[in-house]
Amino acid sequence: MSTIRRRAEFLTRLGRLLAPLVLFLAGCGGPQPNTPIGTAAVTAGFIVFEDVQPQSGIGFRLKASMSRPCGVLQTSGHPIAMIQADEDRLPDLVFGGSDRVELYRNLGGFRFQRVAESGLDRRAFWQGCAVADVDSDGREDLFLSGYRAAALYRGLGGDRFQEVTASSGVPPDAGGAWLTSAGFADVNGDQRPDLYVGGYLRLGHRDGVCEPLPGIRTACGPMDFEAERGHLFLNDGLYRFSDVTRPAGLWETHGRTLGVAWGDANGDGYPDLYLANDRMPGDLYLHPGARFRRKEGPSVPRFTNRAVESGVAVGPDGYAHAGMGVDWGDLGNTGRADLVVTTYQREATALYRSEPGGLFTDASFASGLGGPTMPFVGYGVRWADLDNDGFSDILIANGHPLHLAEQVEPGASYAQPFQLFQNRGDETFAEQRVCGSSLPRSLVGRALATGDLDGDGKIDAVMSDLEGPPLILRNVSEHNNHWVRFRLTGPRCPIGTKITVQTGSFRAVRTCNPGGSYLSSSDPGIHFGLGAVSRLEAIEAVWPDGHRLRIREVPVDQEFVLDSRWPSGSYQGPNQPPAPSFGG
Amino acid sequence: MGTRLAPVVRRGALGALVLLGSLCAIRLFPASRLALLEQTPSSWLSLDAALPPHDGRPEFILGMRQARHGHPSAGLQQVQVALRKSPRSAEYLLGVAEIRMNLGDPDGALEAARSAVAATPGDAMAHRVMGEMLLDLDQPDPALREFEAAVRMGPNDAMNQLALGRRLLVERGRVADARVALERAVSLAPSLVEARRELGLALLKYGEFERAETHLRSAVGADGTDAHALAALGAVLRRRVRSAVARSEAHELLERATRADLSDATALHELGMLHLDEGRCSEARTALERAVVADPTSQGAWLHLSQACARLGLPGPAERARARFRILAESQAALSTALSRIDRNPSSVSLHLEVARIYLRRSDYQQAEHHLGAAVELEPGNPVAKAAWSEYRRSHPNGGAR
Repeated sequence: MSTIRRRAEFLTRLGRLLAPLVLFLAGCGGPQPNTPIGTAAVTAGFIVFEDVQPQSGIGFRLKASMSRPCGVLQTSGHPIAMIQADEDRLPDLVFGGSDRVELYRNLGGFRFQRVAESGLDRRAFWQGCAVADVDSDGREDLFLSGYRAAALYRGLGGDRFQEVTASSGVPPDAGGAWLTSAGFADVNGDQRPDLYVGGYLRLGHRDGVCEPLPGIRTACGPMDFEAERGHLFLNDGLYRFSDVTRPAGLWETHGRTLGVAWGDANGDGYPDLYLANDRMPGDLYLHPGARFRRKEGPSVPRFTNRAVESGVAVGPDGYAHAGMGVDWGDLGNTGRADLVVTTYQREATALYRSEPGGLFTDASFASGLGGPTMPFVGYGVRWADLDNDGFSDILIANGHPLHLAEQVEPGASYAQPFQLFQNRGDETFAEQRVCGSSLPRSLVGRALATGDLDGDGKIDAVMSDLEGPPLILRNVSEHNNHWVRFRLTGPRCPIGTKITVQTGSFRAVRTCNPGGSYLSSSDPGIHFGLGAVSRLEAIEAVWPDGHRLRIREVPVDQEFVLDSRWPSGSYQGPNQPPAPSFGG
Repeated sequence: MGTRLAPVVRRGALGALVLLGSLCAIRLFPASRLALLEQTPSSWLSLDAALPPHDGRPEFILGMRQARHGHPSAGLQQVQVALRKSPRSAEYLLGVAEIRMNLGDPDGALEAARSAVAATPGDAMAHRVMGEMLLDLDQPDPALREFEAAVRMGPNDAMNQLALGRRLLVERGRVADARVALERAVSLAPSLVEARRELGLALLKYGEFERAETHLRSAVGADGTDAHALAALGAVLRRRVRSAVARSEAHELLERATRADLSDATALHELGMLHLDEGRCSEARTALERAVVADPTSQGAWLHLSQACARLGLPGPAERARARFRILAESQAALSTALSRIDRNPSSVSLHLEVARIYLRRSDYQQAEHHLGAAVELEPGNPVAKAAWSEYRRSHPNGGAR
């Protein structure tokens, strides 16, 4: 057993022993026992992380406050992507900065090695990213967005990429725009991932620095500039994209977009788009669904903004909030997509609970998420079942946008602790204020991506710190909960694919959703925490184009590959096509 | 030592006289915002009897009594007699200001208040009263400057901190400064209930629900009919706790708030949201309809009304409420931007006209009138401003009153 592993296990045990005591001393209630789901009682436990960056081999670091000027651009953050850059099925990591991109190969056991000749060579002020297999060749490709910059990199395998921007139809200079978060989804059902990228502000010739108080020069606010708007690029195949923003009905977004998340808002199986806009109402663009019929040649669905009607345009008090990061998840295993949007300080992180009929109810305060998030400026946010109890928890990266926040506003701080909310299973959360040795620690958090970096069945997280190295959070929680994970392959675009697992009365739906959060791309594996459920009667995967695959009698505590070309049937073995005996 | 102390003592006594005189004047002011000044710590007032009367004081007291008992003209004559005897008395000048306000002569009132400030330029109290008067005259920016001057001159006076904090609380983006002033006010005068209430409101905006609840409970304990405090405490409980008992208490507090002030839009909106949270859509609709009548510019109330109607299966009313919300929400960003630009360039006629147009679109006639008036005042000969003002007066002959 390696020293690192022994140390990790020791800290885990220590954390497990101390966590209740520390929680008690900290004056916060620990999580309550979860509601049993069906016949499967869930084992609740504390979520414990370990920051393994120092020993991980990841030397990437940021120092935004040293930038001159240190304006609204410099403090807005940089990308983090989890990507399969080679063939080992362990997520590799891409970090972007103000002038570079670095790829770190995952060697396993939380050891990473920088890839010097990755091909990710273009220098620009990078902001966001999105990952998908653009050409269905089985290798993940990378899109980077930035300030007056955009780049499409073709994944070659073996930790190598080749830039194909020039011939892609995506302007390498982004048309002079400031692009932020991005996300892939198949919007026209041609099984190819299309791309939406958000736009933030038009700085013009200004440096983004303002003087809120005499003598204090720090980042301007979003309302000091005209709004930039985003673009939808349709994947025409062979790394060619067309800008279809206008025919898709997306040219009248509110702009000032920081967060982008594709999800199925109304449960019709088609991808809808939520945009978290800074100081502007949020936008929810609904796909026309079955009314859209793919015609011969290029065709574009026309989206309609239904944010107001659905109840997700504004915060709990009815006013536009500063939308930052966004993610779709499932609060109470209803099978419907709920939405979380991080916001500025003194605004509650918004949790919109999905109701039948495509309506959302603001559950920010009722869920217990609103109050504890008000002191902080939230950016990256992810739903993830961090304790494998069957319910999705929420992780939030916090940090102030002003590097002189302390001088501008009494009580504010530039660095802020990240927050972890454990899902109690009754549609409420308990904030877990201690989640490891010296964790959560303060950082100037921005991007946040999640995925199982060491293949141990527990979701880990990576968070960017504008003033230092990233936080590499290894999930060392100890519990007896089961899990299962599916990795989708085949010619169909996996993003938006829904998998339902069922046994007895336990039923949960999860979606392939690597986008969302803030300037990030997470691992696309579809992960289920199962609590005490030790065998699944059946699973069903439904791709965005309606293709279904059902497999009976699936064992747990493993990761499986599901190929969209397989027939439905009985489980045969890991990564093997099922025996076609099941009436699919 | 004695000779060095004498001027200090003299100055101190003089200062106390001015201060107490002003306090007396303030105590005579009618209800409205100035009523808060009546909560001045009693230890200051107890000195009153020990002080020699001002020259003209009997006339002043008689005049103020007459004014407050329905004879403002007669009262004004008496106070002016007093003023002739002590022409630089800030106290008497503020008395004149009050009576002129009641007589519907805001210009005369303002002039008297300005004279009071000029007569005692270092008197924080005069600045504060001036600020309150400017607020009554719907001049929030100059009022804020007067409150800031009052705090500069009397930082250890809880009333000055309270007046500033309360003003900042409703200013855009100044809640942090408001909180500082209100924390100071409460620490200077822990028994000042109004300061606790305002601090509770500030803490509610910060999400510090536990501390907000403490301060608001003491405010409600002191005055169980204070609709603002009741509504704020109800709002805190609605956000803070999820137990049925706490929600029931929140419900009761909000009901009490709406009874104490039938047109408290915040309380009605909170009550509507509480009903909506708990699936009582019909009750939610009733409360929210009252909320939008009380404040037709409340975006949140319109939004939640549309949601309540949608859930009740009333698509028509839901769509109408949504349309109203949409106008308010869509114009909010433009309004914020335009107001920020006015902050930087307050003498721009075109900006005032732009803001007035946005307010008109939002049916906020009071604010629209304020900015149209500002545009005309800045450039009386500006044809665009004049035309806009005339058009406004033609379509709104009763002015900005709702």
